[in-house]
Amino acid sequence: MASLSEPRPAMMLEEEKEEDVVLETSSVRKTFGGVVAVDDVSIQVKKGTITMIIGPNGSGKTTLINVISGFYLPDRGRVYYKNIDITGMPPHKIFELGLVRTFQIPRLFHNLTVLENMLVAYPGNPGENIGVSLAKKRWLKVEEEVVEKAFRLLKFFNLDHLWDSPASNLSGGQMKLLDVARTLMSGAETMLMDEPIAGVNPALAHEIFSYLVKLKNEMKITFLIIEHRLEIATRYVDWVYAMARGRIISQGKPKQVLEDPLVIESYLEG
Amino acid sequence: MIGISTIFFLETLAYASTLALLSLGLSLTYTTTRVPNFAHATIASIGTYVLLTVVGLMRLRGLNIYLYSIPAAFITVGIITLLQYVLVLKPLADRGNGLIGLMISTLALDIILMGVINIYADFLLQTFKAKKVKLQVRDQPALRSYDARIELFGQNVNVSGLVAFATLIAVAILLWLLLNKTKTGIAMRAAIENPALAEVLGVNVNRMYMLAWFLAGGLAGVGGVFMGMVQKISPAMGALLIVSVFAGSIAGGITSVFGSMLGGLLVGFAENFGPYYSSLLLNMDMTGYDKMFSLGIIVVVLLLVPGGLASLDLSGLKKRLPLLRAGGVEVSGE
Amino acid sequence: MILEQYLPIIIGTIFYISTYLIVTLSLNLEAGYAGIPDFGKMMFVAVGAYVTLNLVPRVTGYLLGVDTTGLTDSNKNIRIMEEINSRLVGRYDVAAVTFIVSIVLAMGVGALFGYLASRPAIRLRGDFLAISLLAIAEIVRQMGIHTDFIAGGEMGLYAPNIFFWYRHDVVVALLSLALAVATFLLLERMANSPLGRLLRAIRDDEDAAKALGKDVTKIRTRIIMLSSAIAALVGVLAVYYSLGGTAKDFDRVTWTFWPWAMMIAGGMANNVGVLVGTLLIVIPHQLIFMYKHAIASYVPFDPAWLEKILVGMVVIIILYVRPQGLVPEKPSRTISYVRVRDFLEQAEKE
Repeated sequence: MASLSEPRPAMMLEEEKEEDVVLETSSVRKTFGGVVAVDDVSIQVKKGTITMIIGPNGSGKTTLINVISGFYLPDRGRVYYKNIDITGMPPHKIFELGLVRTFQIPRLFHNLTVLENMLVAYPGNPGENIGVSLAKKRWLKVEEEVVEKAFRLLKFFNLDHLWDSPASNLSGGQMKLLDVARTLMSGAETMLMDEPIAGVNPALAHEIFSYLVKLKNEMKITFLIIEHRLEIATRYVDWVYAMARGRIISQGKPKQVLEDPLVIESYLEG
Repeated sequence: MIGISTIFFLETLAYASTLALLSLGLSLTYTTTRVPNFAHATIASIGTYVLLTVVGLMRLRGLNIYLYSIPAAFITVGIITLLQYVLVLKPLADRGNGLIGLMISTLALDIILMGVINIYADFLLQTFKAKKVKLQVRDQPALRSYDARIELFGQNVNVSGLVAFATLIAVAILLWLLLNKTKTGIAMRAAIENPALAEVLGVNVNRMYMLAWFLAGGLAGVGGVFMGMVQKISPAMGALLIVSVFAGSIAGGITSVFGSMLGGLLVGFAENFGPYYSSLLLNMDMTGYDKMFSLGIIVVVLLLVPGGLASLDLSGLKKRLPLLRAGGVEVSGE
Repeated sequence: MILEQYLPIIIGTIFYISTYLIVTLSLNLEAGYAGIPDFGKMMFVAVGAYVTLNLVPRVTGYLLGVDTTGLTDSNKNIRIMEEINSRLVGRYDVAAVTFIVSIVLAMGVGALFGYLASRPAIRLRGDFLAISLLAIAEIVRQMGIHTDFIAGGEMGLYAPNIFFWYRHDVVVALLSLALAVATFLLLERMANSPLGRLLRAIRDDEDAAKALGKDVTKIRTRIIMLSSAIAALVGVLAVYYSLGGTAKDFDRVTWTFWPWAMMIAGGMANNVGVLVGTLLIVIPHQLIFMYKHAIASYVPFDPAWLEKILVGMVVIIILYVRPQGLVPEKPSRTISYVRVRDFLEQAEKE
């Protein structure tokens, strides 16, 4: 494991301690058969913030998320999460560290009830083992704790009254909320979200973002979000990176980035 | 061929061409509905019973057998397969059945058809008795003695192998022309590759799928005719044949029609020559182990190249290896 | 009087309901709950029978001092078995050991076959797994028929009569019933545990399950192994019921399609549904068998073909009219409904 022993600049470590950076990429590059999708991208996400990546289609945002979550191996550069080099780790290992991604379209278990969708997300329930599943005594206690936790989260998202209906009966917005709730249930501390409000009406989009802000404040969850619909998203986020043609072209507070002529130009081109 | 008689080679050629026709059709239907048709081999054996009926009742001999039974089998079996799509698969898919439900429906149809063939065999037996036709319906040896014969390499041989292979080549050329040079064929390919887009462009996707199923069934029927010329005829003949047909499609790449055709040929030769050469090599009787060679092909292909031979991009093989290792070709999911 | 006349058919019905229930329950575990399309079910029943016909008598022979060389040679098999059976009378210890060895060996070999047969396609789309399991099962059957050293080939082999102390068919039927009840309770317990819920989740969307850190391939492999071990039990029971068997007995219609038909009719991912489906298909089958001659006078062909057509059509019609089956799937009740409501109220109060 050469990657783990690779020395990191001392300066960066100090900086991290000061500013509490939880997720970081350094000079990440990813190409697909000669096409550069992500080029020399270094970003930092601070703990308990909502960081957003914007950019026109094809600017490399989703590729970056896939590199961070372990679905792609970068050609160059490294990814650190909680000071651990996670470059090249398989997705389930990264998941275990608390860095979890969600998909654009919520992928719920349709024949399971809302509550079951929550319960199944809990990692390491002993009753999921074939042998142990028969010995109710050995999993009942954990199961009850999980149910309790699930209801608390469902209540948070105002889904508790739907607990016994199949996930396929939910509305589109409720499905998105359940997806977020389920991700939290799985022990996520940092969530990588690919367009959480895609295809959602404005009122609901604001509601979803309010929930994310509430999660950030109350549970210290960190978010890295890809978003297209800037008019809705910007007022909720703390920090913005703008990407174009695989590179970071601007970063800063939302207002600052949106007024950056480079960013405006990239959107006009895109 | 080393140590292989002309007769054995020609019988193998007939069998391999039959498998190629069946694997090709299986892929054609698979590309439309994404459901492997487990009834495909039994459907082909309907073609064999068309052959038996035609030969018995019309008292045909020689090349006349092919002249009458091939069109009859093509149309009969084509229509039955079309009905499978129209009356079973399409309605079930529209009712929201998933992959498992659709697959089990093809298995159910396989059983139904087996029952129907058996009942038909009872009926045929009585008809044959009444008309004094000396043919069996449940354990009829291959109709070799009815076949036309020619001189080849100084040997007097049946024509079935040559006719089967010629038919396969003709089918391949016609199918290629249909898919690439005609408006209907291009529409069919569009309907297969991107149904939603094809629909927008004014292609009647459902009608294209119907055509694909009819063709696939028809070709299976033709394959059934050749089967009856080289193999024992019985109502259960499809039960084991399905293994070879799937082996052919998987070897060639189940989503590639022409790849499957080649795969079918490959499996046909492997099943006959494999036991022959391994018997010589191991000095023991390997007949009866023919299907082990199909199984070997299935296992090796699924483990190493799940997309089949058609997925092999030889120029970029090296680049593809890591992708294949990660199961990048036909991994479950969407 | 009447009882005596109908006893064989009653015993037969108990035996078939019990054995089909065991196989269909095991199929429901892998296909209904975990979404594994096992189209090779017959192979796992068959290997249980092969083990009982081929390996187990060697153990019994050894314990009784009978030379079992040439056991799978059909000429010698009958004489060896006559010798074993004559010495077996009264030897309850050997009978018990034989029975336990059959169960353990059959389940072990069943699990091993489940592991090996699923290997090539366990990571691929479900249809590839279905195709390869069906193909392997057909080849296991063909090997059994065409070679003598597995299960005696076309002629088949005899099995020791370990239930010499009473009518063996009655004992095996009742034993099957007990095993069916045990299997039902065991799998019902599993279904209502976090494992049952996890399996249903994997079936619904395996990618989502992977994204939640579940090791889908490992879980699937274990479930196939367990399910195949259970199915192999039925091979053992079938052999002891008829005191022998051939590879021909285990074909795609009787031991793959029928269990599937029972599960589809009754309802996937519901063990009660499986029970309903099993009764719904086995009882008419027994009736057709009983009144075969009466029916035969009405139709100009063998009623067995008619039955195949009818069962096939029932499956297709149920898939169309009621895809979820007669008894639909229910949530996995890991803890009681009342207790769940308590937690809900508690959360709402906070």
